[in-house]
Amino acid sequence: MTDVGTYEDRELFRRIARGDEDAFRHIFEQYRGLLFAFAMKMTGSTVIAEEVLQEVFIKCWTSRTELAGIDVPRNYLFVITRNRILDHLRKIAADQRLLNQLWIIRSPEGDSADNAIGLKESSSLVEKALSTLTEQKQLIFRLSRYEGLSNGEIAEKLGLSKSRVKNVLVETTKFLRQTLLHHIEPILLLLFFRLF
Amino acid sequence: MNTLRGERIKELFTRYTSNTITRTEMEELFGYIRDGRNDPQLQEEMDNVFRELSKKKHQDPEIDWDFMFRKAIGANASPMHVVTPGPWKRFRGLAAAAAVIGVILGSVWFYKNFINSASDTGGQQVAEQTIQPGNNKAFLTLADGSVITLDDAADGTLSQQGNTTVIKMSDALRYQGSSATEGEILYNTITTPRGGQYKLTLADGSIAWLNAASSLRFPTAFTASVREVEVSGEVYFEVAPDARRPFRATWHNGGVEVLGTAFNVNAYTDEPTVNTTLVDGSVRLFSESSDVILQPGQQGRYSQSGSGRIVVKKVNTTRETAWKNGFFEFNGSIESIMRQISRWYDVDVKYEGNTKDIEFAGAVPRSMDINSVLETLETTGTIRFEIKGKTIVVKT
Repeated sequence: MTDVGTYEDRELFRRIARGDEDAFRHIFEQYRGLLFAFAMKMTGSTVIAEEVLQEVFIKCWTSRTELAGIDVPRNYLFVITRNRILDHLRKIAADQRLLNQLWIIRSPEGDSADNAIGLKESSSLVEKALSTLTEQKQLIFRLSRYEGLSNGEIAEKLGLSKSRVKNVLVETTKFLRQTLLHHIEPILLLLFFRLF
Repeated sequence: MNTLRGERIKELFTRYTSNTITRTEMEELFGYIRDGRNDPQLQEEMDNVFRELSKKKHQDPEIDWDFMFRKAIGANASPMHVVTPGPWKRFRGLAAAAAVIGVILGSVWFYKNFINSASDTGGQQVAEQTIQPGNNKAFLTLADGSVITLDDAADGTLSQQGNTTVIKMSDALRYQGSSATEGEILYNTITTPRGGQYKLTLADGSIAWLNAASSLRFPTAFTASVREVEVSGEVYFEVAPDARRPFRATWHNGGVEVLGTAFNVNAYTDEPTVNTTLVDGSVRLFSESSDVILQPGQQGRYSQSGSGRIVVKKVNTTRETAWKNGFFEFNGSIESIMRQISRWYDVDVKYEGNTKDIEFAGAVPRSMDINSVLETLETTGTIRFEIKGKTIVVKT
């Protein structure tokens, strides 16, 4: 995968290895779009894709001394991104709850009958469905819906990026809506027993 | 690398990235991801995705890039604040429209124990008295007759059976061998008690999920021309494709023969019929007197007491295999429902009054404690339950 940019990238990598933040910013800006698109394609979740990229760039910077010896920077970035994505997918593969959440997040949004269940309101149903998510996601949702905090305020409070807060809210809302809608139907049937 | 499996992974992967994958296929793909042996191929598929993406221009998504960059270089690394949850306005607006009440009523029970959430507090006392649902446990009988209890065995290599290594990984067991070799065929048996379920990966890569009160006898390596296993109770199979060696599963009065497929066998001897449901692929189902080829979505059913004549009908496979995904699919008489409950909660059932004609339809998560399940059934108003120790009395 050698191309015209390779030579230039190699030079940037050498500078990063010496601790040059400008060079790192250059690489960051040049590759973030492609790597994000890759993580997005492989997971379908904006939240996970952002997590993957954060990990990739932390890894790049913390082990920057290795970068001096990298021949094809693009491939290097690809491989660490790929491995991080695989880590996430394995984690999902090992946990039925995460797999279920990913399935819902990836599936197209249904019709808008969702208003029948006011997600803005706290109810035991929402609470139960929420409790299957990570604590951080629950907290973000609660601070937003029940405490009325803005995305910026939540990000500040929890030390997260604003985009993460926003996307966690989008995905959590979708998860709750789909869970409540689709899992309610079968149970309702129980209320309409048949007597022969 | 098994090329048939390779093709299958490629196919699933393409459907996954183009978002045309079905739920079952996604489960299958993530099964391959879980199974570390497929990593080289998964990496190759990811290479291709990346190569394709590299050819295109990408829009800068709306991500807080500045934050990410700063965090990467460790500048202003935002400390993680610990936030104590405030008093959530829990019941605000519960007075929803009357139309919604029915939904909530039915669902309160549904969510009551939807997931045995670790964050759930205050349930300790109740847990002592209520009968808890089953969990992942089983016994493994090795070729030499020794028995390993699988709920408390530590993760890692459990045993060496011939050329095959038996590995326990969290809640599943895997047989991993050098490719088929000559030699003595060793048989192991995995048995789930009432209140147990277990997942097992056989030496050929086929996966079997055992429901409660079931067993599977299988060779530790598949060296013969037919991959043969014996089933009792209920088992869901995802058979690894191998055109040269058919896979045959037999039970007390029948069996199936397949090449590579996913199917569920319910052959409990206390059920009136033996039901085989084909999810994917193709199987030949045989009873003692007849045989039939099933198509995906079909169920072959024959009576335990009759002539063995097989009746084929179209079924909802998701419902028929709901147990594997953690649900009871109740559809039919109270007796059939109570048989499922008795196997999963390890309880006995007695009937008082005429309960014969009561039927139910619906789904309930298997993670619920028994009280919640019975309460849900009671909401229909036709039936009542009394729990006496480990016995459930059903009353009209």
